[in-house]
Amino acid sequence: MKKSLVERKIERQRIDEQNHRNVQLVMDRAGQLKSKEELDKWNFDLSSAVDNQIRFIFETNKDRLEYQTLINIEAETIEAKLIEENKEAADLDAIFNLGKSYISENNGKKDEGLRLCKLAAKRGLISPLIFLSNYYENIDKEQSLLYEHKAHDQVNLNKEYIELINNKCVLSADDFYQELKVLAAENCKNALHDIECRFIEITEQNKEQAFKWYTDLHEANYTSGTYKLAQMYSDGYAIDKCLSNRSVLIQPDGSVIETIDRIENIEEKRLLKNAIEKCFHRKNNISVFSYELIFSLIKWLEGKKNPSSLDLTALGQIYLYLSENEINKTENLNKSFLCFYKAGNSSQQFQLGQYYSALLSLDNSIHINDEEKIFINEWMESWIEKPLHKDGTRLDKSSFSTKITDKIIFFAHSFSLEIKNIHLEEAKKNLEEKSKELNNLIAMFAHNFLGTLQCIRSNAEYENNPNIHLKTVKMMGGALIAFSILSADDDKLVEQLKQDNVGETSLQQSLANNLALAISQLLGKTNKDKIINLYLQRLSKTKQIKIETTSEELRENKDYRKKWQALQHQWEDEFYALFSEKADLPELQQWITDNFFPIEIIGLDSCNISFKEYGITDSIFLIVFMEIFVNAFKYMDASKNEPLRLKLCEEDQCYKLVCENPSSQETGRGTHKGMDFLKTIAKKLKGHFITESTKSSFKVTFAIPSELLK
Amino acid sequence: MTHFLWVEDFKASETNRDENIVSSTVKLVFGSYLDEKELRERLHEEDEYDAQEFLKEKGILLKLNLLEALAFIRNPDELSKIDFVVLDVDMPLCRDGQNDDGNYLHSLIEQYESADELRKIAGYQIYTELVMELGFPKAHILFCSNHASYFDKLKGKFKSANIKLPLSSNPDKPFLTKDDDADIKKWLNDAHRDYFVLRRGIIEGCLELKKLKAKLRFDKFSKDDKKPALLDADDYLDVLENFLPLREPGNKASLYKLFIRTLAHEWEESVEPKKIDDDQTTLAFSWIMKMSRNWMAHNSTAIFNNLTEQDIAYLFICNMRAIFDLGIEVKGYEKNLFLLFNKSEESETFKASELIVKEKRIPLVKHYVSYFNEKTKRIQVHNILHDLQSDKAKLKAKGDDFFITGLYHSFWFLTSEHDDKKDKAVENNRNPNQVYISRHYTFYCFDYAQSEFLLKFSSHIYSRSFTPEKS
Repeated sequence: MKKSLVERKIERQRIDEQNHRNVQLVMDRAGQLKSKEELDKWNFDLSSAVDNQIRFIFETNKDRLEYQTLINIEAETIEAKLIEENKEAADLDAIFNLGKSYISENNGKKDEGLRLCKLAAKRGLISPLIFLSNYYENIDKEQSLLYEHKAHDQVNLNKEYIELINNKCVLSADDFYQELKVLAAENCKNALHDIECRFIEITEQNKEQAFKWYTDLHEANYTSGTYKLAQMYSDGYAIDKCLSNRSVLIQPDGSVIETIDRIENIEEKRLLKNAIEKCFHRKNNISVFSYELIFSLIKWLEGKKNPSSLDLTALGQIYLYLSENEINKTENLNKSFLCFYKAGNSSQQFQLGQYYSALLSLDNSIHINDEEKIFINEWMESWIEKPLHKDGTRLDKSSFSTKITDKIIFFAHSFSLEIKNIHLEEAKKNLEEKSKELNNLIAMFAHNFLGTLQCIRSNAEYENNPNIHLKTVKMMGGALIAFSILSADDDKLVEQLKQDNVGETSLQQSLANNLALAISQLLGKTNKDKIINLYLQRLSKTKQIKIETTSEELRENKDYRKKWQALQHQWEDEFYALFSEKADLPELQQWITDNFFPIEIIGLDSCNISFKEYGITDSIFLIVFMEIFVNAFKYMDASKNEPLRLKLCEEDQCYKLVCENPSSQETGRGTHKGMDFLKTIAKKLKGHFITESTKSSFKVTFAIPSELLK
Repeated sequence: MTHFLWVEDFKASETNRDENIVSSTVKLVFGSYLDEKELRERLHEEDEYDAQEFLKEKGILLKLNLLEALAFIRNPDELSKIDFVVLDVDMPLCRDGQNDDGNYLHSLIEQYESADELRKIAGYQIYTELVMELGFPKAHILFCSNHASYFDKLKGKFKSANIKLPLSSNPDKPFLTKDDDADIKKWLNDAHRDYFVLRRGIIEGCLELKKLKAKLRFDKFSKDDKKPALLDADDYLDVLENFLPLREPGNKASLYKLFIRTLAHEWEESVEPKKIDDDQTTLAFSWIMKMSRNWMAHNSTAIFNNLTEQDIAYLFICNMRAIFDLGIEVKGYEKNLFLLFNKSEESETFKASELIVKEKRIPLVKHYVSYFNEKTKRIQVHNILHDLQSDKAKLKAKGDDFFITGLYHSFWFLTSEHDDKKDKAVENNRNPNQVYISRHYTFYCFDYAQSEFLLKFSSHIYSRSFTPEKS
């Protein structure tokens, strides 16, 4: 059997020491050289010593003069000699060290140094591969990565390692561990020392033995060892002395129970933190050597059935680092957020998770829902309100990465501000909506009152009929109460409507009154343009204007305008005489049909809805009917000779009042204030108001819960 | 008469408009400028289109919505018809069924994100187009709304666009409401400053005269009957029409002088004043223009250094009456230019002047004496004036106003016929060494009331001609 690795190592150490001494002798001599002849002689002696010694010449490098003299030796001579004699890896080390020194000395032989390093790397030596990867890191990323991958492959292809794995079953567990450790030391040198993933292969049934080895590896600064040790703590094979905390619970019956609370696994946390941070120790990228460990960590943590807050936070941190290294940036950032969020939202109220998810939520690429936002906000607020722990710190800084903790502290306030802004925005939006609602209410109030005031004014100017005055004033009084209830209390409105179910007025009469009121308002001289289509239709029917006359011609042609004005006077006077005191629905229907267009009223006569005259129901219907009727008349397309349909029906425990009119306009229906207001009223009554517009018709439905009218 | 564009919707979108919304709004904004009785009569139907018709006659072009206003301002021929703009803030975008052939509204609605947003501050759009794109003077635009509902929104819009707020007559209020009647009145008074009345009168005059080219008779003033004087009327009127800028210039006097030089330029050597068709006024008008041209050409230009809007209007009317046969009626533009002499024909001053003119009580004798005593070699007033301006020392001593007033006097003296008799010498019995040489110069007062034009013209210029300060 071949010499064991341990034996070979001892032998190598012995040779090295011998060579070192020899070199020291050569150096001493070099320091005494005076003439060119002497130097040539020394060169000769040196070349004979090269075989075994040159590696150490560079490694010692103690004396400046010696070193300077030495690097003048022609590299080709040494290289040729080495190649010719087909030396072992130890000689490749010499080539690599010479190249390295050329590069670090910066004496114009950098290219030569690189050539030598590449030569050593080509032969599969791991150290120059790592060196070249580092050298190119800031010069040529691609090259750097290439060398790193080559080094990684070289490590994995290591014959001795493969052999060792194959022989694992015939070796004792301890021998296997020792052999592996030597091999790691041999192959990884300094560059790979921290991340030596082959230690992950170690699985030992004897947990005590395993703990010893992992501790040994961890102390020797092997990250894989650190990870394995953390795993042991996590799986409960190793017990953290600081793990538990005793506390006393007083039961409702007065009995006392002593409990052991798991507070936090400090050792596990420390080890995990250490392992993760080492995997991501590079500033700009992640070493290819770290990947194996990173994915082992992810696989382990994700595989846990009931991950602890610590597991989730660690996982969150790994995803965050991956994202920061531009690896699946958004996806990993979101994964990170979810991990931190779950950690923070777990029953353990893991502070770090809370803060960190808050921090991450500031990033726009995180998909965060409202529920998450609310939780985060609560955490942040509670943290800001109670900022200090018993020990006077905001966070247990030792618990996790200081980098993260600092970030959290910095961002906590900005997050809080952000959330406050969101709240302010929401509050502003609500206020704006309220203000819009209020504006609509005021507009409707003004609209309603101006209409009724106009009635009083017209009556005063023409007939001065006291009955009309009284009727209008009562109407205004009812509307005033309705508006005051609408603006204040939804429950009161509903209650009063429920109670107002007996009285002298039927819904049919309310409709007739409001229909008459709407028409009398539109017949005023200042509103004649609003129902110009009705005037145009009538004037054309009575042959006062040509059938093809347009509304624009009616406005602009002075003669036509005079006829229009005359018809307005006629209609206004006639309507006032017939309906100002009392509106009889059939008579009104007939007048509308004779002068405007046909009108169909369905379902109102059969309904049994009654209420007090000028009471709350009557007043609400005044507002609703007026808005619906005025709009229907304004946008009515009378040329189609189709009727205006008014329908009342009871469906789904609601009374539905439907008004449908032929209309050629889909847009330009004014400010929608009135319609918005009807929506508000319907909402307050727990009903609904819907408008439907097609190319040829316009339909509105006002639905009110039946219980309010019965 | 200054011309206005007024964009006002009379609260068109509201159903409960005041019964007198149209007449009351017109009265609130232009009440100080219109006859109240006429306003009441013409607008008793409270019809926006009646108002459009009525106000157009008064030089106020009323537009009822954004589309109408945009179609107006984006048409250069239309825009040139106005001097000042009064804008409502919110207004309907268009009437139902109104054609938007130029597709003006679609892009604006997109720009303002919704039709409702555009409607609320439609006045802003008109203002910015006028000022930023069409170079209309911002001092000529007034925001005046029925209510202040959208003033804050409007202010915000100006601020976000980094545009200075509009100007009004009140430095604290860039936007006025209809109730700010004192501020509105002040702004309107400013808009009716003489410069703008003159400018509009000239523009209207040129436009009106272009239609009356058949009445052109300048060729008849030719000295040589075989070589009729030529005048390219279109070109001549075009130049005059576009002479005065919309922004009132700081150095009006020099602009006015140039204007008169251009106006009188055609009265050169080859033409001479004439009494065409035995019309005395034509003689007077042609003489006045000839004198102006000569003074301008003979290095007496200092006479025209301090011309007023009245003087320009006077010479413009005289000139056009000479070169066109404009008949006995007052032309529209003349009516407007007369406003520079008397704001109203109902005023006491005007009525007093008209009475003097009708009763032929023109103080010709008194004024003739002072001219005669200037002791030039000649007898007729216009000749005396000519002699005086030729004498540089006298020209300087008399000052420009003397000569400009002289141009007004020339109208009266040239129209009133006279009889000149030189009597014999008579001995002075008290002093044997002395003789009296007496001269009889008799005026046969011209009938200034013989036509509408002559009566109005002479009544309007009477005060300017004979007020004590001027004489």
